[in-house]
Amino acid sequence: MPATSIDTFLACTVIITATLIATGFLFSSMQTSINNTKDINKNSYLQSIAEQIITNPGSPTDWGASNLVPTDFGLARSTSNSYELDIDKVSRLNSQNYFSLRYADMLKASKLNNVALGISASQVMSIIIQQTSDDNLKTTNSFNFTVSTNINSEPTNANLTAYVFANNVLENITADIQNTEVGVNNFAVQIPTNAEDNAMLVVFARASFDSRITSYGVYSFLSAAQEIAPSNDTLVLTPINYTLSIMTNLSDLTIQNGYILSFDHQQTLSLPENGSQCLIPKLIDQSPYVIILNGVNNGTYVQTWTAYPQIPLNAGSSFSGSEQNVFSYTVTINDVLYKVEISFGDVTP
Amino acid sequence: MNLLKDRRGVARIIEAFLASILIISCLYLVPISTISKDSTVSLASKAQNALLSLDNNGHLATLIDEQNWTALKDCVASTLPLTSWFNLTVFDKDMNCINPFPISNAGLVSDKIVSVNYVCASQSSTYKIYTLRLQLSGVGLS
Repeated sequence: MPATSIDTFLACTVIITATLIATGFLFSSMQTSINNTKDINKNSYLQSIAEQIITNPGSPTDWGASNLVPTDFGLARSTSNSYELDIDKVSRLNSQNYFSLRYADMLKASKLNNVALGISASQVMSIIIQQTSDDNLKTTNSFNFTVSTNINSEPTNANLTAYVFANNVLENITADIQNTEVGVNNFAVQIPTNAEDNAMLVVFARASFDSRITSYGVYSFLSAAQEIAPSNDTLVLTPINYTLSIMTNLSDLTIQNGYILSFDHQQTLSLPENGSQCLIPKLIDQSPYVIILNGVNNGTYVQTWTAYPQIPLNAGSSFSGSEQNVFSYTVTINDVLYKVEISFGDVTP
Repeated sequence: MNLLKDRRGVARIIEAFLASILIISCLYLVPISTISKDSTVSLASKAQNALLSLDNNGHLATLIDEQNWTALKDCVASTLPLTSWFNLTVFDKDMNCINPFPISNAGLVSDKIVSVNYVCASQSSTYKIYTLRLQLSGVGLS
């Protein structure tokens, strides 16, 4: 074989190898571009659905006010400003609400067939209630608390209102609160020793720069911890359409009294003699409401609480181990700012 | 000896190498990935959402009337994630900047910035009109 043939063969091999490498690289680059285009389409498609859920009241427009299942899913108030949500529609997403919307109904009303949906709502400002120490006395115990307030993990100055509810007695202890540093407040609470098992501390915090950023926190003395949701499953409260429904499986329970609390106001609820519903007064206050109810069952105090709107909440899919596309919004509910996240799973063709 | 003196084959290999280098260097002209247009759309939507929510009941205009720039900054910061950067500029009706110092949270976190203009009106009897320009940038914002 002449030398020129060998050289030509080698030269061709080099050229072909280079061309193959180049083609492969080009193909992978184009594939990345195609995937990016797909992602752009998917993201804008899902964002449009999220916007629709947040800005549309759904059908019927007042589906939140009763146990109706909507034919078209939307959380906005029927006569609303931009990004203003309905207090009842949001509350019905909470699984602790007696009239909570089933996930299948939510998907059907959203017209989503193959896409997982999740909705979470939370307060803009976080409240962390911590018991720092206690002094045991003969008839009363004194508990020291530190309440921290932060937004996006940054300590935030806030004004606080605190209520203690024990043995059927409600007391406002706001005057005892002392601000020690930015976003940190301290106070002490005295509780009768025989009331510790049913005592409850409710704290409201309002950001000093915007009254619409008002949050609440509930501390249970029984579990010695802050409660995100009511832990009492024998007495369950459901607020819908400014009516409180009371569900219980305690046959001898007698409801004694109930209160509605907000940052600026407290009011006694007008409880019916033997009924299971009562009206929730509309307080003029830029604040979430906390409703607490007290009853006696076989000589033992039974207490529970709920928030109105029932936030924080997580509804729909949990997306464990699967793709999650999150769209977050700042919304107002009854003149209070909240954060809402709408999540979708992967779009399958 | 003839074989060693024949340089034509070597020249072909050199040509082939040069051609390969040319082909591979052309690949640098192919963009590896396109900049996602969508993330800027999302940022713009986030900025619009923040301004619309905050201006519920004319709150932003009230803060501007009171020249409460610190509260205005805290309000905007509370609605945006910690990983975002923002710069808010307030203009009067003649588009003169009226905030005396920058209303911003930190250093710029990305070179991709969106700017959203929002017009709000004072609720007071003077009925002033303001234009707010919110510039937003963020890491991992969707």
